[in-house]
Amino acid sequence: MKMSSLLYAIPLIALFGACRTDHSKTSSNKTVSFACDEDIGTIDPRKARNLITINACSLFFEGLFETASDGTIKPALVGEYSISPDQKIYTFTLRKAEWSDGLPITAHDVVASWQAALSSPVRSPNASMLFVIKNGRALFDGSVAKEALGASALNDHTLQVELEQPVPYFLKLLACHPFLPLPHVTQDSRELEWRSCAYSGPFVVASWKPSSELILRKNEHYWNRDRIQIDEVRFLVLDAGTALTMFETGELDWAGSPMATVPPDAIRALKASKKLHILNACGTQFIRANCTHGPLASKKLRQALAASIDRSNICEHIMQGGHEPSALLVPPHLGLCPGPECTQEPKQALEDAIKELSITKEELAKTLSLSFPAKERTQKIALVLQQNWKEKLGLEIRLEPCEGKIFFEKLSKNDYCMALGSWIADFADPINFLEVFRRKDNGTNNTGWENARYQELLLASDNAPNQAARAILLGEAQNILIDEAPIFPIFHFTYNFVCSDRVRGCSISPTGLITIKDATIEDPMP
Amino acid sequence: MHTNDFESISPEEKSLYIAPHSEKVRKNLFFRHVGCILGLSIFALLALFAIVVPALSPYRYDEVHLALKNVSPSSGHLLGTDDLGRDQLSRVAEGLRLSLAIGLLAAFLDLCIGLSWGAISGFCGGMVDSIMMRTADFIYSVPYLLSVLLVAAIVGPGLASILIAMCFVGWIQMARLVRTQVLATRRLDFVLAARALGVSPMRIVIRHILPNIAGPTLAMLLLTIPHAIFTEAFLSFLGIGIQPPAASLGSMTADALSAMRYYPWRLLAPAVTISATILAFNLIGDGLRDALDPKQKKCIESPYAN
Amino acid sequence: MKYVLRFLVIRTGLCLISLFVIATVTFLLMKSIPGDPFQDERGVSSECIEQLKRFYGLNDSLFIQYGRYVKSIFCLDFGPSLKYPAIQVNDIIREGFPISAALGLVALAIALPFGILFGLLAALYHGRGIDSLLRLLAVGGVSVPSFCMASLLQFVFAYELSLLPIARFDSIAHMVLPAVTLAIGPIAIISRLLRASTLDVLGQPYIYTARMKGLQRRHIIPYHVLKNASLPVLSYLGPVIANILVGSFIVERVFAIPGLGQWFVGAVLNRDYPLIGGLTIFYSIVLIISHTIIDLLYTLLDPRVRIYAHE
Repeated sequence: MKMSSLLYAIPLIALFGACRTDHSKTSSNKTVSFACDEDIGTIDPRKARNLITINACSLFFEGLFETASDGTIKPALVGEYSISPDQKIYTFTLRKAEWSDGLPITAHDVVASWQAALSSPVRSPNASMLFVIKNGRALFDGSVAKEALGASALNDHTLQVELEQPVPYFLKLLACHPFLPLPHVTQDSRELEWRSCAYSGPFVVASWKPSSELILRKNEHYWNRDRIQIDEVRFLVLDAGTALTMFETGELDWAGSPMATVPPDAIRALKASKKLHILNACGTQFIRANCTHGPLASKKLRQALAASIDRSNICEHIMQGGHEPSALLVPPHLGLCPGPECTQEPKQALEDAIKELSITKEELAKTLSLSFPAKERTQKIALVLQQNWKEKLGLEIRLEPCEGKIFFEKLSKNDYCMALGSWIADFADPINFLEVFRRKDNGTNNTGWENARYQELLLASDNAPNQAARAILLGEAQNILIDEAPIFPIFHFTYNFVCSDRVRGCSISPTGLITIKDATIEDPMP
Repeated sequence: MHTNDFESISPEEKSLYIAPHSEKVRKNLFFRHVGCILGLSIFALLALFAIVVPALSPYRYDEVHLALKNVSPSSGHLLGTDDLGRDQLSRVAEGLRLSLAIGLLAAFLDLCIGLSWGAISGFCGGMVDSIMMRTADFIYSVPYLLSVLLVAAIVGPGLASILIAMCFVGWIQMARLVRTQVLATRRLDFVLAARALGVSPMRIVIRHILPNIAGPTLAMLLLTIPHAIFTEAFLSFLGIGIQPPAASLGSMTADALSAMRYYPWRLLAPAVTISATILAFNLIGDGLRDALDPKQKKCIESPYAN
Repeated sequence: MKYVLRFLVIRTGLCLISLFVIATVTFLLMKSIPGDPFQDERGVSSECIEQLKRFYGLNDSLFIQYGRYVKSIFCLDFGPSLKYPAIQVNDIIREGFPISAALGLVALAIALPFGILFGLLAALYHGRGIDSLLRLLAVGGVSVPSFCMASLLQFVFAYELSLLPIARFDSIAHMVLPAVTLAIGPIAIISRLLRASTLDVLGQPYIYTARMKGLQRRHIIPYHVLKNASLPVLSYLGPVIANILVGSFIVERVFAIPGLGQWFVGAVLNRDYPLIGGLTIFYSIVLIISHTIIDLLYTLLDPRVRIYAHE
């Protein structure tokens, strides 16, 4: 059967492919088209790793909570909720909602989804976000049964969650993609099949042509369907230049962040014509320093390198998208107070470091190198960094461009000297940034650095009595991180995008989710 | 060799036999060939450009001046600046040098491998020939893009990977051509005579056969160079070519593509240069092939050219 | 007829050996690439990677993996893609190939007539202005890198002049620009090759004879000149047809065509081993088929040629 089906493709029935009418053309006017850099890859939020897939999954699966465009969390599937005095037990009452096949969404579905995400043979890479639930980690390791998980359905509409310890940002977590409830029939299977899957979100998957387009249609079973004014959403996989051209001729409604990039050369022209939108993102670009690699174990050297980066130049001339130069890891709009100004003279710090390490400057320069994935923007940043360090410190550092997968492998094995890196937050809270460097064996750390006081502060922040106290504790932790300098932050990301005038009310939340639920179409009168 | 006997040799063999009396005609053909002259003059201009500009330019090709980025052509920068403020004129000259070097090096490597493979295969004939050409066919059947990417991924981006990737498959055309020529030549009388005298095969190939196939081989070589430059441009477009700050015409063209609408000079300068280089080599190669192919002499008497 | 049968049988045998060798070469290359297919920027945990590797059998010994690969070739079933586990490699090929092939056939339909026309004209009016003009055009066509040409055509005709659609593959009009871009290279080379071989044929005694016999020019050119001159062009066309049918990465990326060519680069960059294997074998099959058709055409056009006749 399979052989013949493959041979079927070879003969000259090719022309039928060209003459086929495209069903996507016969849609109504209430269609919004987005440009994507690459295909979503999967409709399973348990496997979603980039903003494209996360955005798509958030459109056809509804979470317990949702993120508004200003970053606040609003209840979605949850109607009411209460928190126990010790902050460990949350009780949620779910709304009346149903899947797209008509069956009701119950608390049992939610519990089963989370159990599956942690225990299924699927091994979701996002499962670590579920470890806050009691026995989450144990279930993942296989040492307890599914039922021991701290999430239980008291009845069809009431969900009770018990946490390992108090988590002040738990509601923000619940709005993230690993917590999305999945339909009961497909939880244990390896892959969700888009044709047969039941959806809970404002849209359902109408068709998916891999590496070409994803078309979503309004979900008639959505619990809040009157709120949705859009009938169809299209995600088109396009090259960045082609996307911009199509936007200008009106064939595309949205190009750029969060699912694609605006070509850097176009930014000046777009800013001049006032078409470019710039929004703050929860993300930072930084340089990782391998603290176990030779001279970089010296704190003074790291501080010298961090202090001599010309951040404003990089932001203004290379990124050009309103990026904010910063020596902090956590974006300021998340509410952490910056620590004391760094008064280190980079040259002085370098001298101290050289004395400490008792090697000459030339030998030092020979051991230092900067690795980065060989992409257009990162190449330019690396070149400018090389120039910075040469001019300000007299150190000529080697550049090591690597291909994508090789770069990630090097990072995970700590096989680098310095490397460009970035972190985009899963949810809008400082802890998501600071947690990256909590333990040196974190999959996300890769610098070989950890600090006892830092870990204490992060732990204490979970038990902080109020927001203000928590902010102080986290701020202090960040100060330790910046002072020790296992990373050298460069700038905070922004979202750069262009949106056509006919789409109103559509924006991006700080974590990169497109808020299309409140969007409306205003076609100009013919 | 009497003219009568000359007529009795088959057309393929005739094409290889270098008759002394035709040298003059050959030279005339070569230099009267308009395309060839054009190609040579373009090449001379480009060579001049590549030598003179880096010597005279006040800017280095990798000097970054962020504040001066994307300046249009002006008196300070004759071809403008790119998105990191580097002077385009110096970069194009440097890129031309690098592209030419890559082209020549890749073509030379192709020649070495292809020539030896084809000569051995053609001269030995029989089973050895069969196996060697089949192997070449197999290698040729791996999709070019895939093999290039795989090699580049193994070796890492940069000059080495481009050369290896290009030579991985590039020598096969040359080998096929050489083999066909050698197969035809080895049955000619002077080769048979040499063998009868007991000259070693190696010597026969080097001293008797190779000079006779030099013409078409040289023409093929000259046509391989633009192909190599082209391939390098393509690899740079994919991102696995020359890495900055080194500049090659291909990588400059690829980078400037997205800036085509906003800063057209960034695309124009390297694109025109790369096109001119490839054009020049193609014209010279065509001219050389036309001139060295004795069959072409008859074209002047074509019944339709009146 | 007996000849054709014999030819096909021997050719099939050789093809199977070819496929086997190509598969081995591809397999060795794939296994030599460094880089983990499952790692990404946010750092996937090692347990996750281990489990994924176990599922795809990447932890087994090389021999077992090779055996599995060869088996998948014979069954023509390459399993799910690594990067897109919900999609089967066979489906990718089945959906992408008809589109690339349609585009390729249109491109060939443009390239062949124009290439033959230019080559013939250049040869028939050899030495005159039109010859130089056509030759310059041909060489010019291959002098501009293809990605440049694609973007330039898109900019001029689709954006500035708004004559044609910018990208994607929704109608016949969408095929024009990509097909023209694909056709430029083959036009240039076909015309150059045909010119050289036509000049050669024109000098042959039998053309003189035909002319002396009083045959019309419009009879001589297709039946005597073209038939004999097209042999070198045919041997060039074999790989070109295969490459065009399978799709060009650049054209498909710039014009957002959902064909097969765009998958090649991504497959290698993502270390998508099943997809790389599947695409390689598929391309090899297409190449072998196109070579076989060309060889058969060769024997039809030139009865003196008999491949495998001595074996």
